[in-house]
Amino acid sequence: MIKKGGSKMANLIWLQGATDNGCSISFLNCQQPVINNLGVNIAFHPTINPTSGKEAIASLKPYIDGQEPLDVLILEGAISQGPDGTGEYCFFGERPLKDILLEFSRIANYTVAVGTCASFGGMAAADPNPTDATGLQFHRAEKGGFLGKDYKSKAGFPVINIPGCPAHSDWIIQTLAAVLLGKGASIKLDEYHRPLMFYGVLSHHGCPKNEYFEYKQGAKNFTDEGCLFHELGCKGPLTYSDCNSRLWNRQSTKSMAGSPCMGCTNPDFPESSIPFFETPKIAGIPKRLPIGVPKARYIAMAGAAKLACPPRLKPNQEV
Amino acid sequence: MSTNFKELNLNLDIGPVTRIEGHLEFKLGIDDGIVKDARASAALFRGFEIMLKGRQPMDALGFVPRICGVCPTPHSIA
Repeated sequence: MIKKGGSKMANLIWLQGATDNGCSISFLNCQQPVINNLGVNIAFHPTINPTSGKEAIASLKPYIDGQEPLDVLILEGAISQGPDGTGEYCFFGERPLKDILLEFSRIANYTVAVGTCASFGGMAAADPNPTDATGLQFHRAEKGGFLGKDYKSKAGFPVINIPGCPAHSDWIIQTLAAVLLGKGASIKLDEYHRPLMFYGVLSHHGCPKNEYFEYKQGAKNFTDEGCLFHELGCKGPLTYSDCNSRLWNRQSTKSMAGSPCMGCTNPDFPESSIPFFETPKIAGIPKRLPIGVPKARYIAMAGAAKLACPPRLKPNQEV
Repeated sequence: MSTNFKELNLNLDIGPVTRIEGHLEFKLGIDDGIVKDARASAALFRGFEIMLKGRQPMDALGFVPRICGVCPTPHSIA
């Protein structure tokens, strides 16, 4: 897997900013395809690199000097710009990570942001954003971020965002596969630069609690039967991701395990998802309604759905 | 007790340390093959303590697991 250049293998450098390594762990869990089949030379990855310290930094030099092409640059974690624009909240060796990142972003054929932090700032940029953290090409939902809204990698692509906290291993490895097989141009991105093949449906899609949602039967407490959207803060109908149709570890998801979706692929995560475990309401109607459903229609639909609810779906009933 | 770092002879610098979770650096003072001084620094600050101020306790359950992606559960329990 880790093989030094010279061959025709594509070179990949993975850097970590303000991150918790969750996306790396998720990436190492990849199954379809497994990384060995991709023919990629992972020139540097902080979590699995055999060398440390000066040797590790020296191994990056051929790429900076242009002796070796850098095919893919992956950033995991937000870019800390503070304090006062120095970037000293996050070091890589003896230099702030943001300076090193800027050098690599200029020579990379493709630049990929893995995780919500690298894409949009994410958890690291939560209010009051103590470290002045930002994403690669977005700051939360706003275009710009660290590299600026006009940034294009050498292959002419903007930063490809793979948000998620963590990002699903399929999302990372399949995007990578497309890029490495020269099909980068076929990746269709949405307005937040997320590949539509993974972020084209709602997390709600495929949720096993959908029938409860359909008839507006909300669970009042955790472990109760019923949909988690109505009372317990599930963001499934507000979040683009294919979690419930793809499954995690090929077997489960948050909502299957009885925990609400946290909406972690949203550009404003975590602020847009707070409160995590409660649904804010106005006059009994959730403040944030499923994407694309106007309030009046939701009310009409909810009333009719409740009336039509078959007895077998009524949760919390005495048995 | 304060330490005057300038007086320490730290002649081996290991940073970044790889194969760990997070950002870590070591500075060692080695004299004739013996480690005389050792300093470790965590080279990343995210400020979770600052972010959590004024939030609902339940919401902290969404934040603190993200301190570490390798061991999220102990942070939630704590």
